[in-house]
Amino acid sequence: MKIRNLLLAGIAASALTLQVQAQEGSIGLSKEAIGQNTSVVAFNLAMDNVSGVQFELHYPQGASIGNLSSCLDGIPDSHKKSFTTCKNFPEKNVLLVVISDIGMSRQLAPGILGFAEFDSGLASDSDFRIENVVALDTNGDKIRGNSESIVELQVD
Amino acid sequence: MKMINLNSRLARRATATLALGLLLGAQTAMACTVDNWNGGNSGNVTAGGPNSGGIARYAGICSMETPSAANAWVQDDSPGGIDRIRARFYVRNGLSSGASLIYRGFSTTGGTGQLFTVFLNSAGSVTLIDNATGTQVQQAGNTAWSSVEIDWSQGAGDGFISLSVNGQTPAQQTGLANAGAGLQSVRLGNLNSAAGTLGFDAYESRRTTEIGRLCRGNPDADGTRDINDLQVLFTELQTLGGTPAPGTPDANEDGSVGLPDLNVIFGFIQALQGDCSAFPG
Repeated sequence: MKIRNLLLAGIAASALTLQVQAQEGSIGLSKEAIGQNTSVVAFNLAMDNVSGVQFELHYPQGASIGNLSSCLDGIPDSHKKSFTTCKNFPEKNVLLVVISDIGMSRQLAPGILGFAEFDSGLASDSDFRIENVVALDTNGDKIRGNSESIVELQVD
Repeated sequence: MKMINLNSRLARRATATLALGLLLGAQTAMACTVDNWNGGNSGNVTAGGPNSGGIARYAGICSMETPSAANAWVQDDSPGGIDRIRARFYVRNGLSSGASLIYRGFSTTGGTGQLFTVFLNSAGSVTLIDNATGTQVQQAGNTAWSSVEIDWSQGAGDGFISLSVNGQTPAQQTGLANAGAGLQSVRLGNLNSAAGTLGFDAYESRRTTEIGRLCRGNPDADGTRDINDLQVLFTELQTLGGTPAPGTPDANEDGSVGLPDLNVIFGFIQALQGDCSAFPG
């Protein structure tokens, strides 16, 4: 999926609205027009039967996050509670994403969880890496095995 | 979990190392007991946990509690004449007043020949005394759970004592002339019938190497704080202790496991302090 193409496809006047099929039908992501020096990174949940996921997005030094307002836009309201966060640590070049439904363990549908917009012209998957992925299944149990494949990045 | 190993206490003695890792091994569906303290026990000490008597624990599923105003203790006879011991335990301070003698080393197995003593007062202050010289060190602790680690060594002018409460930089006294009969046994509990209940957990002792604190707020005991810890803790709450967390769920160390602990753990996660080795808490 080409994120920028998706974003640009919805441009209306100076702003753009992106309709993304995500967790519970169609959601609207309003973003400022995306400049060519901006990289948009989407976090994609690539596994079924996941109720919660936590990961760190490590980005290169020199890059800075310009817009985090859509970081959790792809998740349902059921997961936008106390123990869910999207937090940037610019001094460590790390974006922490925690999405949980503690106590209910309702499913997160596979697909885009959210976006982060970087100011600099980074546009390569290799500029970014996902680390320390932990996921819970819909029984509330920790998912074992290759956790790195649970979340995929899409960079444009 | 590491805790006062009340039912599968391991005493490992090597040439240079005495390891009394009171580690609870197979804990599931197992009654908590103090039977493995090889020096016995006295005074109605109670072993229990969240699904066994509702006794608060720091780690794992079992801990030990002493009744108020009673002389109650467990004894370990494994030291066998050593001249140095490092010991770490967690104590839950329920003293209503005064001070309790909570840990003591002896040169016999009969409760005589005091070598060192640890006191806890109701305000949480902990004091380690070398009985041969009267030298003492002190640090502040909590009125709920506190970790206590001591290092006591005999010598003819090169003995020393060291105390660290809740991971503080140790308070030490060196150059002690405290040589004498070696350490044969230790007792842990309420050794002077102080008023108020006391809880004990995660006892471990060695000859020389530092033990350190357990990872605070790591209910699943895997060494990393993450959303699984939140889930494991919540499961314990949801089952009223029926499915107890195997690690250290009492993240705020207040003596009870509850929703505030979820917030404390989430605070660690949010601060990128999930790694227990880097951020033991």
